[in-house]
Amino acid sequence: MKKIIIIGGSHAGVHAAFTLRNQMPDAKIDIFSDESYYPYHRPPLSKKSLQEESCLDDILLKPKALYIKNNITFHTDSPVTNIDSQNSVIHAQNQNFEYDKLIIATGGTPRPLEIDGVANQDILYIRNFDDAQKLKNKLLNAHSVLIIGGGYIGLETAASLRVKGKDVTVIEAANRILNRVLCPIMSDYYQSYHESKGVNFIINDQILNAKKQTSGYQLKTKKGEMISANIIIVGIGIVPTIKLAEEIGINCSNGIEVNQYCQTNIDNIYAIGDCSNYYHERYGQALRIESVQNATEQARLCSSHICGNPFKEPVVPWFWSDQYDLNLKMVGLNIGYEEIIIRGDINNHKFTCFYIAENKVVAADAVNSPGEFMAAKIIITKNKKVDLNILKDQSLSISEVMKLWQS
Amino acid sequence: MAIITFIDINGQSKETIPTNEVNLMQLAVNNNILGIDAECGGCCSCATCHVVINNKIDIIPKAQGDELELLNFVPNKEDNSRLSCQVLIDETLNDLIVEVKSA
Repeated sequence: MKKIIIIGGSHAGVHAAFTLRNQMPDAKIDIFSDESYYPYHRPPLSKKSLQEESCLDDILLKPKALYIKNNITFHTDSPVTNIDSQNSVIHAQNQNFEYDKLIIATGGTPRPLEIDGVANQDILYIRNFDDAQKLKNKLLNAHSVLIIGGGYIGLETAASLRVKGKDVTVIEAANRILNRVLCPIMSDYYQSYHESKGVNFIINDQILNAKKQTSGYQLKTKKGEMISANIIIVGIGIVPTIKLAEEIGINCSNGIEVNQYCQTNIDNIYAIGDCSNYYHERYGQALRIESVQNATEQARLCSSHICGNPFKEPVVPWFWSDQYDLNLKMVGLNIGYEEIIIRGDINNHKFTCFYIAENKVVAADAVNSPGEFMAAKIIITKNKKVDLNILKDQSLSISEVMKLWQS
Repeated sequence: MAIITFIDINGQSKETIPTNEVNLMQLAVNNNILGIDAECGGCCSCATCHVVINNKIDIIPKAQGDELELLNFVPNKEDNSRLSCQVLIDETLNDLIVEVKSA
């Protein structure tokens, strides 16, 4: 009987467990998590769960009974303290557990920020259920919120808090929000939309220090602006959790290095999800991608390799973000794009930015445009040169564009 | 009590009985039906819960809005294709047969 151990009660870990169970009815499958809860959907933490009354059961990835039914043993409150790769055992709950295959799906932790004058426990992050609960409790007596970081987590939180009627300021160190992931047109669009909903932005500036007030803090930026906030939330990215792997000599660089099968340099140890730095053949480079889709995809890849199935190339990365009534779906990576083609109507909040390189569509950001998103996914996957004049012709529907491209 | 049968991505069929699930995607996830990835958790964002309804299609409200747009481009689309997160469960679906398609 094969023994599979998964470290991390994450999207990636759970998906791997159930995928393996479907193909390995007799394997012993154990998941170890340092959290007190069964695994849950994380995306709602900054969105729906923040805006409405909700409980953990509403966002569980799978009901508890399903783990039992599928004979998957889920260990809550069980951090793995070390891996002994020589003897293929992990150490948790003060005992050893043997494995034939080990899957590391430890994700990451929010990149911490220290602010001169602010007690560390007063700086809030949103990564797990406890973080979200703590924030919700603090919000009960808060009116003004400072969000540090204009990335997705910060902006989704800003949107949710505006919906709840809070005063929201977002400060971003770079010269525009979402600068790591989107083109300037999209950054401008999102900033304007948030501003129209009442969010205050401070761009290209950072917090210098803070003074405690009766309720919250008075903060000063490097450029001398003053902000008063009852609550401070930080969303400046995550640090992949790689300690267990690093300790046993697994190669790490911006995450745990893995090959196309999600295998580390130790053959029977895999790493998947936010913690893995995966070699993408399509892009000819290793990339650490933080998304639900990446977690699911890598769970599939490692399960497939463990079961000896033929390799199937991963699908192009895609992402989504909900802010107010804007549903953004992104597909592909816009690395090195040369041109942007916009279809749809920005003023009507239904449009798509297509990123072009060498006459190919390499990525697309679709705002309230699911059809364009799906079409882009298909054409990016095909990775072939297309007639861009067809895409630019707005009198054609996206279905007609696809038909012409495929004929 | 409604019985809904799923035919998974490998052609295996499995009878399920809804308890408190609101839509077909939740029912599939809660029964570990192979091929329903349901990555977005049911917010009609991903089209990874594509199914074909094999019978009773006329009694189910038709796809609209975002679902319709997504369905236009899903691989292996058929006339009775749906995103299972958008098909609500009620007693009238008793004996429904749902075939899982790859996303």
